[in-house]
Amino acid sequence: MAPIQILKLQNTFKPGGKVFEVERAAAEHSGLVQMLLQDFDDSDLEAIIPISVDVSDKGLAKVFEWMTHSKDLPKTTDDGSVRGPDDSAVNWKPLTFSDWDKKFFDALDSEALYEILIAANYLDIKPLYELGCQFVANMIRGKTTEQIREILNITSDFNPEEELRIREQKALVKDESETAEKN
Amino acid sequence: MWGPGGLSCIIRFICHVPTGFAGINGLITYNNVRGLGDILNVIPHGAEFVRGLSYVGRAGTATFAWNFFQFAVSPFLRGNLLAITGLVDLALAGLLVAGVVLERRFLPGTFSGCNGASNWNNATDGRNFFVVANGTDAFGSDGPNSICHNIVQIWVMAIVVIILYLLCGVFNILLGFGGVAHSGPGSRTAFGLPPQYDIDLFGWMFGPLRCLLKPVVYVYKHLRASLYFACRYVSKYMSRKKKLTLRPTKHLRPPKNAKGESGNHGGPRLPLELAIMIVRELHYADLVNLSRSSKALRAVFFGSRSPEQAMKDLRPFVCGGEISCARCAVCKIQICPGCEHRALIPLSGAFRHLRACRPACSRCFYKNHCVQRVTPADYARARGSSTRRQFDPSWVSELRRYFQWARQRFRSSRNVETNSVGAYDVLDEAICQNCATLWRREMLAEVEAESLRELQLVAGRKLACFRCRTPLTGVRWWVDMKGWECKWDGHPGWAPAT
Repeated sequence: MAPIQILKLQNTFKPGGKVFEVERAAAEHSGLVQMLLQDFDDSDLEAIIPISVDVSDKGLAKVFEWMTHSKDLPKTTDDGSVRGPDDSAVNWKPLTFSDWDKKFFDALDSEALYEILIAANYLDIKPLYELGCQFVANMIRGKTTEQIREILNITSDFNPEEELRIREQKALVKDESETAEKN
Repeated sequence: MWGPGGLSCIIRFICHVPTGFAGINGLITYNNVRGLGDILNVIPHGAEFVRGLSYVGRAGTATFAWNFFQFAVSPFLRGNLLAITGLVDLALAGLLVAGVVLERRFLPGTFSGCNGASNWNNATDGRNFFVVANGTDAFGSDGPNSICHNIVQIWVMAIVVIILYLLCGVFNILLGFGGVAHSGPGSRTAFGLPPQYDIDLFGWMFGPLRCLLKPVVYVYKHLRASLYFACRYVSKYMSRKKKLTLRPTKHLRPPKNAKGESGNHGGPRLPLELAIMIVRELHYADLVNLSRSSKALRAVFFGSRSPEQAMKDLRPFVCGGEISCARCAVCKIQICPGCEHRALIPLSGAFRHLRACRPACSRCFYKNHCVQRVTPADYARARGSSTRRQFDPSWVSELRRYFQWARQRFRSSRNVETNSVGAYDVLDEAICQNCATLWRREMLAEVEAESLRELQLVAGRKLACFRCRTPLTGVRWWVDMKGWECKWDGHPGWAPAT
């Protein structure tokens, strides 16, 4: 059995970023890490891999938590193919929420969710940002404005004039679409 | 074969007894009174009284005979013949009116007035008409009060006949002339009969009369139309500066101290590819709700610089990426089969005007809506060729809407609690998920506000006359579906200055 390789990753966007230790198998979910590793020798793995994304350490920790838990899931390589845990080619299947994923995303507040999406997009973790987007869409779909505010625990910061402007913009959209249809 | 004279027949049936009573008794009384000698020359209004008795007696008897004859004939009359019958009815009623008025000069107007008949309107030589009449064999010997009572009874019956005959005459004239002039109620065709069987014996008489009256009618129509046109033009000219004001509903009205956007929300924005990935799973109504939830959240999804533009950019990706032409009937946003709801939406006043009223130029308006009334549907039919009917989507859609409404009414009658609608003021339309949650009153307010907004957009555009297609500059006239001028203040009466 091959020894477990640990990678050290640090967010250098702000000074004093925390160094995270992540299993290589988990870190390879990230297209960015895969690309960086191509330039590293095995002897260089002890070095800290710098990443630069405008996300807090807390948010990044959540991302690495998900990566560690999902290390056995198929990974997308930089050539677009999908590889299984034993590095064999597998067919890509759309991801579905596991029970763990549901608990993971349910526990996040809106700020953490936003940071995970930003970080997943930066690190190019396709399964994570796909699941995140799916989760956000599920949260919004079919909900009224008040329900969205309630779910995300936010309050309206519009004044009445702005509310009126937003309503009027619907008429504008309609008008433009009609013009396009005529053309 | 019953015609429009059926109503006349019914009235005549009711008139049989009163006309017979008033006519025959009136004639007998007249003959008896004439035999009283010179007292008629000395009592107040004696000559007029006798003349009144003569009119009531003779005209009443003639009316009785006419009534009897017409009772059998009038059910089959129509057209000019019925109208002439009506004129005869009115003439007879006029004679009776004259008689009744003349009689009233001498007689007491009530039965109670006869209680002192022996002292009523004594002659200049001190004699009393009723006392003298009581002394003759012709009137019997029941006393002066009884004679007075009998004569007043004939007088009252004559009044009853007058009322019934006035009604009968007016109805006959209206139904008769109306039946000839058009094919509406009262015409032969309205009774399910073919028009070629109309009996129009006196039509030759009315032809020349119409020719004689034509210039008078022409002058009258144009004078009336010119006056109306001038008044309306002045009214529109005086209010041309007045802009169409939106009447926003209570929840839309901004406070007086609101000044632009407040706060700084220049925070990070979600990468576009992620935003697209999210909105692919949403419908347009979700996007609207998202943008209205909070300024901060809107900035995350759509940015803070131009969220409206970002929303428009993302619009092609919503509803599964299908470009949908369907719109919510209430708030007009994009809907797709996946997010539409069917509901009965209330029609606001503005909505009706938006759909029904059309702009016209001064010339067409004066010609077709002041001098005479031509409906837009008539105009559309006239433009089509005789062999090929022009497709008129307005009446087709009206018909379709009516059947939709009728279907909903039928359904609602079976389920009153969920779909109770009172009148033809709802449409079964596709609406978005947001509008589906509104109460009827809120929905009506939304429809009203949306229609007013659309009217304001229309008011700012260049319009053409719906008849001659001339671009409208200056005054704008609005015509409704019935061909009348629509005076609703929501229609701009003057073209905007360019």
